Amino acid sequence: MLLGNRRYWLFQLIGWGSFAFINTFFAFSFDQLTAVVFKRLAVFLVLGVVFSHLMRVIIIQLGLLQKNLNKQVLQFFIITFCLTLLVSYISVELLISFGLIKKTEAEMLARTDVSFWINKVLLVLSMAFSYFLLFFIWSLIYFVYHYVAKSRKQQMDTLQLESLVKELELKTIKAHINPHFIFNSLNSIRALVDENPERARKGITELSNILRSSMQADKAEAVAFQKELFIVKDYLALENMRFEDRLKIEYQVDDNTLPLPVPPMMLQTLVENAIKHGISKQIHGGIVRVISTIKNNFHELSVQNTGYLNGHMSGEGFGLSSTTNRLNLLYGNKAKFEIKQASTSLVEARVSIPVEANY
Amino acid sequence: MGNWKYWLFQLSGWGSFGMINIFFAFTFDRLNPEFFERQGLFLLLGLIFSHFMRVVIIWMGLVQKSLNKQVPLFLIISFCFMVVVSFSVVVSHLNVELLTTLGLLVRSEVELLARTNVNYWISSKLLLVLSTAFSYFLLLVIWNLIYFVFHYVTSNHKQKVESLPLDSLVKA
Repeated sequence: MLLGNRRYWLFQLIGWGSFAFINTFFAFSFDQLTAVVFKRLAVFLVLGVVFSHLMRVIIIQLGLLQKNLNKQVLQFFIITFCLTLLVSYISVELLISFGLIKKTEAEMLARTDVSFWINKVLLVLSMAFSYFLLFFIWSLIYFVYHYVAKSRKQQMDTLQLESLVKELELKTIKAHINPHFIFNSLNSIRALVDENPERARKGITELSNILRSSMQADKAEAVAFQKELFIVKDYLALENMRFEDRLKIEYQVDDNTLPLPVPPMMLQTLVENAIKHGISKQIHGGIVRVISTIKNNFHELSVQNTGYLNGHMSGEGFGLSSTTNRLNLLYGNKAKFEIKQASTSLVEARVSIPVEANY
Repeated sequence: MGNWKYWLFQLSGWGSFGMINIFFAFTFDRLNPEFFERQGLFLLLGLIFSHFMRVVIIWMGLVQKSLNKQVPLFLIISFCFMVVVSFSVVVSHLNVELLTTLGLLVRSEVELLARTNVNYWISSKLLLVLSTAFSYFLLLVIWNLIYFVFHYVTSNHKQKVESLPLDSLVKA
């Protein structure tokens, strides 16, 4: 951990290496490529690498990247500043010891108008300025690297969280549909228990079939339309027992639409609403027509029923609002749901799903 | 044009660089009118060109691209690096031209320009421009890093705040 990984040393090598290269280039171009210049550069680089690594050790030991941002910025700055002063002091001492001081520096140290120590401090400070620029860049790159990595991880976590919320929302919607549907079906069967027990028994079998299908459907985000249609047919057969002659059922299904994926229990919800708010309110009953076609690359699912659009049918009921929510969650704004008075005595609920929807 | 916070950063950055240089010029007994003129020119060009660099960064949407995971980070870094190098060279060239025109070149620079045999492959003027560019480069790298850190931190903070309702929704 404290030794650093491969990528860290690659960054160190590129950073200090390019600095060394640029300095060598200028020394060469300015005809100053002497042994002294090389030795000075080597001292500068060795100290730079050692102390920048020391800075990293301190950052890790203090757990700086885990602290809050204001503390991080302040402590990064303080550490950079202190280490810069220290490395400059050591650098000046080493240059003096090895006799690698430049003429201008030697002249400065020899000044008599101020004490030797003040001259030395000034020399350390001027050296510190060069180190500071490099150490500051080093700190910023280190900070940016870790911040970007952390930020990208956080973005991934947020995405995962968003998908979890979406999944939970879908589960909630599905959990709402089932009791809603069972309640309506049991009411239909109850009406038959005294009147015709044989048919009620058959009805219970059909209901159990529907429940089994719905339990399977609960696991998937989309099922083939054909499967949905089987459930709807069972359901309408069940309702037909209750309404007898009052309910006429028609299917206009394009065979090409049978394998297309649709959200489970969605058609069922629309048919339930057509019965509950349409047919059951008509003294003479009426018709329920299930239409499935492909138009302009959209799978259009319509449920028409005899009746009149009123407040209940304009999307206030749970079944209809959940249909809108589910379509929004699954397809965004690509899918449409509308309910309208198609003719004087016919209400139409229509769902349009893009055929090439990406699941 | 940038907001007050941006100009505060600009002023603090270039200002502190100017102050440090004045301090060293003072301690090294080099505080003369020529130094002030040279320093003023360096800072003014630095300020103008860093601001121009900000315009380019905004125009190219580099911060947004760096936040977008679909764009590889090394591409953004390479591109920013190219922008910084180009700006450093251009601003240094202008700096050298202005110093020459205004007669503010120091003795070592005049000697360098006068030399005919600086090197067999590089002209003395290009060498002068490149050595100035190196100083500008270090400062513009710092400028860019601070600029990106600021925007990254701001955007990250915004993202954290936005994900809080999601967290509470999942935990509820």
